[in-house]
Amino acid sequence: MVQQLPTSNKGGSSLLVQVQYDQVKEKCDLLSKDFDTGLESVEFCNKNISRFNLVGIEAILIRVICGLVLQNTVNYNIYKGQTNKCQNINVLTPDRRRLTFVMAGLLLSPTEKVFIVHGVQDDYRSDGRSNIDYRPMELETDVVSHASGSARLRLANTDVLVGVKTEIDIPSPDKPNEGKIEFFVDCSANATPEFEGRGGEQLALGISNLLQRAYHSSQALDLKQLCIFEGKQCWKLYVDILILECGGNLCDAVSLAVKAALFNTRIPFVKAALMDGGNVDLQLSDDPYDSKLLNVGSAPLLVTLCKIGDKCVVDPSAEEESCSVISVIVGITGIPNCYCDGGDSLEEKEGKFTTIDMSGPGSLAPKTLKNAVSQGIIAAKLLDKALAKALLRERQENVTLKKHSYGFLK
Amino acid sequence: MPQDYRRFNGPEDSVSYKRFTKDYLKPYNILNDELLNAKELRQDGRALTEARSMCMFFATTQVVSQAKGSAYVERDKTKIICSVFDPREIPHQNEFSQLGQIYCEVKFATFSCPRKRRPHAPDAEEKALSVALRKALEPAVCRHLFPNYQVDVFVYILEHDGACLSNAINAAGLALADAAVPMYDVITASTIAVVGDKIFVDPTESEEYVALTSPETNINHGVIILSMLPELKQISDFTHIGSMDAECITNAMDILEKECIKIVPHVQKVIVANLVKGFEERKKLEKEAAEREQLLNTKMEEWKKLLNAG
Repeated sequence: MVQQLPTSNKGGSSLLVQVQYDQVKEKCDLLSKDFDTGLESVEFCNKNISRFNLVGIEAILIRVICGLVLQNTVNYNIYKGQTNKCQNINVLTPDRRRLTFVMAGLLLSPTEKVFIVHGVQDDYRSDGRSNIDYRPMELETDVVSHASGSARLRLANTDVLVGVKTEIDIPSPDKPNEGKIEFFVDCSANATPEFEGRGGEQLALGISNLLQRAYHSSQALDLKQLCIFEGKQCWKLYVDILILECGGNLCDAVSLAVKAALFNTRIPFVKAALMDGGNVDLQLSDDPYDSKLLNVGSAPLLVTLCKIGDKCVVDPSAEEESCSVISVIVGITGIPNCYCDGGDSLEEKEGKFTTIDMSGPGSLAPKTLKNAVSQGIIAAKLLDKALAKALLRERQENVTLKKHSYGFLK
Repeated sequence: MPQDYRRFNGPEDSVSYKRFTKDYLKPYNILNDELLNAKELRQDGRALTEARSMCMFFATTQVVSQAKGSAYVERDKTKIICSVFDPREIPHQNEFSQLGQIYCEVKFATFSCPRKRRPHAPDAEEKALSVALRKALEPAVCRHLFPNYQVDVFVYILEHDGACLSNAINAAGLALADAAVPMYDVITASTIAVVGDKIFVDPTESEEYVALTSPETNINHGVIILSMLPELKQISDFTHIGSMDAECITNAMDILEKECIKIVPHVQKVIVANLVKGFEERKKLEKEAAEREQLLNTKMEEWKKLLNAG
């Protein structure tokens, strides 16, 4: 029995259809194609809950799909597009705390959520962007005087400060001719009171693991340039990331800021390394400007693709993140040519994936994952070009005119 | 590096003696060449696309009798034991959580790895594995059925010979089923290692090592782990380390999907066997109880007779 309900006042895009027991089987074929869950999900996102609430199909439907017996308490709701094709089952988890990369303490009403979901469906988001647009960002390098390299990035309301410190270490026996890099993320309690104490630990650990994996391959960052004396001494880069504010899309912002900070990092020249009875004696230059820059052109950028409804969006805002149960994070190597002056004309290499990860409590269909991954590589390429342009301009400005700054937070 | 001061950790800078053996000092390209022999077979005689046969032993009470559910998974030299404990209230939490939580802990035995001795305190790799395991299991478990409670999943890797995360997920799925934790579907996982144009399904430790070492040339390399809910056709977790292009990734996804589906019958067999065993045990207990009752009844009859006679 298909019962068409009066169109809602949102332009008539959501006709509701009631599915009865005998129709469940037919619907299941449609559903199993792209049945993206977070099955625990109980929250319904529609405007008029009382009118659109469908009763009776839930447990049966799930039983048929899963072949497993579930309790009747789960409420599943289906809403349909005008084409009379089952578009999706929209499931949202009320437990926002477990969405790993989501801003804490954000509350949205079901009405606001459905507005966002419908907007994404029509490729017109609540802030006017299309699904593949980034928000404008603000980047500044060389902001911390005591760090070897630093950058601050503000992406809408997300604010990240990265400082790179260099220290001398002994290379690991497996890789005698490589230096080391270590990431540490600190979620400041300024960002949200929930990060107080050990509150932000899980989030911080997740991001630093992700970065460590993304920088694992030598095709991402060649650690051989950090070698001082093979098997004896190398540079170790401590990349400390401070999260000052979260307004969605933390991963992308962090990776951009890290790349900018590494681009800005200066490592002192070692004038001589002498072996003195088994100990290495290093002689460094006294002049702090006598230093070399790192080659970070191929350093990876992370792109978060947030699945809302059937579609994936890049650069989700905090509100959009809370409408999604799963997002795919891809790390893609940069284009080294863009980072040297006048390198635009050279042939571009296609970016490679250095990490792929999923965050959030849901799961997704294989086809969706493939689409997201191919969407990610396009976004990363554009992002990397924009970053390269900004960084090169910043470097030139720093050389030509002395920068006067009175604090990095403006 | 945080240290466990309650234990005697030994000298900090001790290294495995294997570092000075000939095998260890082999350069990358020799290690790479050694992975396949002239017949395009791997060191243990498998073809590239052939996974190790899964021989599993799974029991409710025999593996870990104290745990609610437990499982033991063995894939040739990778041996993993997993136990699941009853739900308990989430410790140190002020706020009510609508969904139950899964707490995962992956631990390597100190003697499990061929290259180095593992520390007692959890290191970065173990922490990362724990997070990955939790993320893989979360979509499979009906967490709304135990709000504000957590289920503990402990995985102990006794011997590590590659593909340890995917087998930990397989073991945890079985243990959760054994513990009767409500789930949407069985969960299976598999691993592949990529070196250049070669794809090793279910790699051994040495194959994983080569795949994770960065080569001099700009070829694809890395390890991918995918976990699936096969009946629902859902990917619950996807982990990828290394560097490879888009074509390689999509290719790998297809292979992994097929591998995950191949494991399902094995897992189902184990679950069914476990269920049958449980039923038989219950039947046996009921039979024994009935016998005892009958015995008691006959005794009672005798006593009644005696009483009436006296």
